[in-house]
Amino acid sequence: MTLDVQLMFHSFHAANASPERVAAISAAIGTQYAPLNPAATLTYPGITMPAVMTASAACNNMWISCPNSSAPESMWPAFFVRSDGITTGRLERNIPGVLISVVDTGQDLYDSTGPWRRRAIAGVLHSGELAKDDR
Amino acid sequence: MSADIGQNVGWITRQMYEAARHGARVAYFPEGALSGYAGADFETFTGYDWDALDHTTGRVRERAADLGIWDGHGVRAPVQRRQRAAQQPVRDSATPVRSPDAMTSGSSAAPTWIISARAATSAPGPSTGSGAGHWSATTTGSPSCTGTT
Repeated sequence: MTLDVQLMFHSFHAANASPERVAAISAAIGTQYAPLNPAATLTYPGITMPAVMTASAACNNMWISCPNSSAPESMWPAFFVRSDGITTGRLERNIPGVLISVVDTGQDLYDSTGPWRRRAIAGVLHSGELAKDDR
Repeated sequence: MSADIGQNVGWITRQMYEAARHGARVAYFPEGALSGYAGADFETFTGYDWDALDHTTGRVRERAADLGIWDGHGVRAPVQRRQRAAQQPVRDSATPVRSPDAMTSGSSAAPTWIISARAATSAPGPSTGSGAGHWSATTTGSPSCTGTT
């Protein structure tokens, strides 16, 4: 079943951490990986949460509001992502602010999963004839 | 965002005003923006002032109605209060709506989402039957509790 949701409000709290805590997470990840994982902070929330929202928006063709606390140390700043996975606005980390975002669900945006999304949601994870294999 | 509900509600209402001043129709806040976040902003909910949270939630609702803006923020509430709230009928479209919980939790304080709404005539969303609408929305960085703000 699909609900045809076009806009999601998804709030986070990944903030109010000590600098020592952030440094410890970075060390656990491995600071040598920082260049390969561009993020507001080299932390698991900093790397994965924005990425998950971007991917979720693109995979589900859904606009997503992603506010996060700015209480220092904040892992990442609030942002807004469009239904094609493009970020349209972002605040500054650790600084309180209001991000104004215009949402136009009628905008003709790239929909990378559109051709098969409904079929996949219905549980059909293949196209064409389903091959049977003893393995 | 901090353990201080009074400080939090001050930030929320000021940022709602700023959002409304820019023409926003929805103001949406981080998780625990009003209540604070246990484990980060304070240790536990033991001894938490739930009455103060209820009171300030009412202030946010009133402010949303004054500004004609929809407000959304997640707060924590004891399970018993959530159950009582869920049993309370929504009297009319202008009455602020407390939505069903998005999550369940084994803790004594589980998440509750509060949506403060104005009359249905001001509801955001598609303005035509075309299935597409034009929204103006706001996300906010939450108040800081470190004194830098």
